[in-house]
Amino acid sequence: MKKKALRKDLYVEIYRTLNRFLSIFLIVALGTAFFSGIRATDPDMRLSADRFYDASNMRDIRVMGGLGLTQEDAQALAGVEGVLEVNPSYSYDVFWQLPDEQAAVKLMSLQEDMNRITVTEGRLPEKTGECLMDETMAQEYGISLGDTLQLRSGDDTDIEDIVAHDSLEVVGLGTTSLYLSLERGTTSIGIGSLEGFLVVLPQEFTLESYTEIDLTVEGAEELLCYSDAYDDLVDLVEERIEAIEEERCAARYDEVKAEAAEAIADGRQEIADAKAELADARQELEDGETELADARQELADGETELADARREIADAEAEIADGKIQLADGWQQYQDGVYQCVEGMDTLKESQAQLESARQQLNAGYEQVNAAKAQLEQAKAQLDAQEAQIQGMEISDEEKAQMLAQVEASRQELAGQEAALAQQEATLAATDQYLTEQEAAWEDGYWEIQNALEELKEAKATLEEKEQELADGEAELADAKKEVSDGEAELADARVELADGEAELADGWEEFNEESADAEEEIAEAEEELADAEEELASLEMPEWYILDRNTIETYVEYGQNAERIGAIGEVVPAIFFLVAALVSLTTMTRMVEEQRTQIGTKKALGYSRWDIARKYLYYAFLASILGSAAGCVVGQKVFPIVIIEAYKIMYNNLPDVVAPMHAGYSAMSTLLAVACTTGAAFLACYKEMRETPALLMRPVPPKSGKRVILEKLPFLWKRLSFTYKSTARNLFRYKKRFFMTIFGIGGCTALLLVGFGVQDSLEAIGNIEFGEIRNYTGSIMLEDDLTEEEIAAFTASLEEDGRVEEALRIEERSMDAGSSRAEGTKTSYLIVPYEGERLTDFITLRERAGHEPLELSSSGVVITEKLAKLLDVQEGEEIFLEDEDMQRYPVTVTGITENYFMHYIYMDRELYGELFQEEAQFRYIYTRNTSEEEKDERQFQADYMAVDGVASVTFQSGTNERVQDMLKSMDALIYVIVISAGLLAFVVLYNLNNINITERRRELATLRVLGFYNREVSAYVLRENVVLTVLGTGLGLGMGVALHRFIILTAEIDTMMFGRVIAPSSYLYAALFTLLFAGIVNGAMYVTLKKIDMVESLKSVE
Amino acid sequence: MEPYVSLRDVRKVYRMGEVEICAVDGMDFDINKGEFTVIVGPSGAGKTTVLNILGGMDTCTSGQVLVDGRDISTYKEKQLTAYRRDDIGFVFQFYNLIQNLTALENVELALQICKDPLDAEQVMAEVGLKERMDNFPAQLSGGEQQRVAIARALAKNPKLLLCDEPTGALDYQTGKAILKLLQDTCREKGMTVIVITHNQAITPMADRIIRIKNGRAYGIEVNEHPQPVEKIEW
Repeated sequence: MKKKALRKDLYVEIYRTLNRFLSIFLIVALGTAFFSGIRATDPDMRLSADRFYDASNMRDIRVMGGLGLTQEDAQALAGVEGVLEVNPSYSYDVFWQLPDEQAAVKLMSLQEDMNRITVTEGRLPEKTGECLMDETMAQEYGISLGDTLQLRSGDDTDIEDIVAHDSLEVVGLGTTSLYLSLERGTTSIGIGSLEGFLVVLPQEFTLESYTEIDLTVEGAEELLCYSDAYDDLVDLVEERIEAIEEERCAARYDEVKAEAAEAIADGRQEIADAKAELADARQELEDGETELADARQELADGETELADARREIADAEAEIADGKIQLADGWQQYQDGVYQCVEGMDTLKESQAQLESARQQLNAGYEQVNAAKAQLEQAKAQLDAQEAQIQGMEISDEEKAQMLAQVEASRQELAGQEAALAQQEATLAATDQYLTEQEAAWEDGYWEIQNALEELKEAKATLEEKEQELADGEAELADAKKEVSDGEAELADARVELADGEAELADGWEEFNEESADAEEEIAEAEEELADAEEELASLEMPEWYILDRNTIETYVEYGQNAERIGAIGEVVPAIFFLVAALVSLTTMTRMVEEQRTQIGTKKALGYSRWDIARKYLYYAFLASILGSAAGCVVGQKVFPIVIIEAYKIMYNNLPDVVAPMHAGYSAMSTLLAVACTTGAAFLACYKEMRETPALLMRPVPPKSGKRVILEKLPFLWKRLSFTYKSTARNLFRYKKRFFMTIFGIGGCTALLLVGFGVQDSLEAIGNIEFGEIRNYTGSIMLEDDLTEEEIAAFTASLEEDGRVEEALRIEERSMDAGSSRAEGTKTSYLIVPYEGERLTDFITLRERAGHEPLELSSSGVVITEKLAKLLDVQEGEEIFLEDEDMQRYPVTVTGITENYFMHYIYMDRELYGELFQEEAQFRYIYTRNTSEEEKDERQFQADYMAVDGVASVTFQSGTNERVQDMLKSMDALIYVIVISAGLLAFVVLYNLNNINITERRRELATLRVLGFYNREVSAYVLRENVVLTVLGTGLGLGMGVALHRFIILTAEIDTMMFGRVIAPSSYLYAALFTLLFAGIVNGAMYVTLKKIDMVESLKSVE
Repeated sequence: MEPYVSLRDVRKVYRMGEVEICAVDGMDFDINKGEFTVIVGPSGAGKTTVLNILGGMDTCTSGQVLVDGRDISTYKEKQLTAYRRDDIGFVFQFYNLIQNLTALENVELALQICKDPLDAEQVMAEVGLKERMDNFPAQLSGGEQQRVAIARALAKNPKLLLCDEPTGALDYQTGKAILKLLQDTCREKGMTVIVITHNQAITPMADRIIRIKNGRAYGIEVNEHPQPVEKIEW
């Protein structure tokens, strides 16, 4: 602007009408911020991810081979044009065995240069037996450094054939760019979902071939992933890889075939060897048997011999015994003889003594007799002496007679005595005679005894001889006995030995039988396997390569889709702002030009060209919008992406840094749009005035005539309206630009608020409806798969006894892929089969979303969840198929579509399951409805049942609910952004409208005041228009909001979730109330302005 | 008889930064009830300020303004609004009709807020606009618009009818017709009418003429024989 005055005029104008300038500035800033900010979020999300991918040198392509891959494959791939780096590696899904559960984990080999791991704690594994654990999983399972993990194979490959160590020490925690989110993808083992990953050294793997070869593509790092350029570049290399695929696969095929053939040959040899070994073993056993038989024979012989010997001994013993008896008799006789001799001698001695005493007596008798004869003679002499004496004596004759009589008597007596003596003598003689005889007899006896003694002596010698003989015999016998007993001991030993031998042999047989059964079974198996292997070898197909680019990485794709969704929202929501911004600019500029009509006329009269005059307004608009755009672009592109991506990071927790650069394209586009809209509006506003003659312009504009409105056709209503209402009604129709600006502005505000609250409702529906109305069970108990039917039934019965369980139902839960002829790809879904179909509704509500019509299971088809039906594009009565792990497809008819918000479920009748899969379901899951859903009760319940044998896991709905809620929190930030923006929008629009209204009607309002209207009445007069417009705008906004909400919900929804379609009545209320609140705040501010209107204005002439 | 309206040493000082401007500097005059008064003076004499003060749109810096025995100079804003509402009828130079309301509605507008209104249609008939009641202001001529404005003021049945250059935007004939209407109203209804103008020519029709200059009333004359409007020419 060369004309200084004009330039100054512009600056002064801006300064004077700063409010107006700012309102254009602000609405433009808001529009561009929203437009560029939300649009930039999409590329910024991708860019942030790209940085992360590049920093970790994430693979561009992964090649997997049907038969594994080799170093040669890697070399061949390295030779492909466009391939930058090649990195063969291993991965395998295994179970991590915990005390009371098992978790499926992906075991990955550490790649030094590709797919680098970000270590968050500890270090990378440096030797085998060490591993780095997924940080997210470590947190979930409470694992810290130094803990040891026990691994278990999840398929029929032995764990030793997968890894060298089946227990690994955690030496580090980390993240990988392959997993951006909390999800770890699916696996073919266990319940089908991976819990995390473990990184080990490549040497840890004992697999015979690489499972995959990762590649980076030359020039791909420089390109933004998710971009077409990137995809094209990678596609090109993929095609080149495909070109060598056939050759490599053929080579691998041959190799595997050769290996297999060799293996089969080896196998066959092994079987033959095993059979030979078995035969040898049998032979050996049989030899043993023979030997044993010989031994048994020998033993029998030995026993016979021994028996003979024993019999001989017995005979000998008998003889000896006889001998001894004889000897004893002999000795007895000898003793008797000796005794008799001794007795005889004694008798002889006695009789000798008797004889001697008898002789002595006899001799004494003789002496006596001789003495007696002497005496008698003496006595006769004496008597004769006496008779003589007597006769001699002087005695009387009588006396002498007497005395002679006496001597006669004595004589007489002596005679008697003499006779007796004679007799005695005779007797003595006889005795002597007898004695002599006796003595002769004694002599005989003596000699007899002497002879006997001699004889005895001889007998004794014989006896002693005999005794010696006997002793010798006995000694001999003892020896013989010893020999026998030795023989017996020997025999016993032999028998023990034999028994041992027999036992051994029996064992040997048993072992052999057992082992041979096993061995035979094994051989049979091996043969079968061999047959299979042969068959397989025969049917070994040419392997194929799976060339997987990043679009096969689940989180990569999901993240990209989320970015796209935000992008899609960015296409629509900012449009409201732009529309409003354009309307605001147009209204404002029109008003401005109208206000300055006289000035324009004056300038025109002074001779300024149209362009010079218009320039002021164009520059004004241009300046406001370019500054607004600049501010909007910077703030929008810095704030929105960061807020939104940070929110998404709750889900994508591995994403390290958010990158939010300025995007020239979006900045330019939004600035251009904003400037064009605003300046265009200014131009339009000027255009009409420019054509008028100065004279006309200098005159006041003929006031716009009031017009009758449709409402007046209803006199009964119209009559009742006070003039302010009438005026308001007419005003509304008079200024169409303002009408639309306000309606759209307020409508936009309400719509945004409704979307904000509605999205929350939709998210809460997942929690409230899904977990409040649909999933009525408290939790589920998974039993281990080796339990028998009876054990499961018993356990279920015991559960129902538990006072904490209201009801329990056995369920078969199985992860399957569902697809339809109409939809591309399949969706992982849970197949739910209740043990008792009629009780399922106690646990899971099956109902149509619209109308809540209850659904029932029947054997004619399945009930599927709404989102699944939508993704598969099927209606009730149409067919879907279920695909199992072996890609086997089972077609079923959909008999009902049930309301559901989280995950996909297919509910199937038990009977249909049997028919379809040709097997009875196991019903290893038990859903329980507990009396309490308090966290502590649930924890107790879980602890109690985890302790029960056979229980694999106890999970609660509350846990899932919490996880879902966490995931959905990421949307909260977006909602705050929306609410704040909505508020700003309402402020700008209403402020602008009021500003225009008040400046335009300054005179009218002053008049009203002069007429004696109270402030309140005056403001009511102006603000009523706002109120009506706000109410109308709110109404429109609610309508727009419903549509926008639907759009956003459908766009933002992820595959496994259905957001609630319904906005809660309270949200309508809140959206409306918030809008009214914003309007109220603006109106309150306006009230203050209104009070300041000078009544003197009314006296001024019309400008 | 007590004067109906009386100004006693009224001053109004405007502060414009450092400078004090005395728009009204000791104004004194009385007006009786039912009189047709013309306040006349050149531009800048303080006419508008007097009008503002009399009309309750502004307050004086000092002095007394008595209207029907009440001193409105002591009124607070709200009282002033009530005063304007109930006691004052205002006729503007540029009519100040609400463009969005029909002629009748513009009258009714005023009626809605006052205590003892007259019938709008009747007033419209009295000002001679019976046929045009349903027209919007933009569809009426200037004179007709001013009649509507007068009707609007009259319908409130005010104590005082204040007219600010009522003929200023009108041609000669129409102006006369308006003045006649005002005079007739005064005569027939006994309404106290105060016309503020710079047009000396209309003074003969007034009962009382107050001439002001430099913020003071310098000549107050009572016209014993006011002339009918028809006789006046300018």
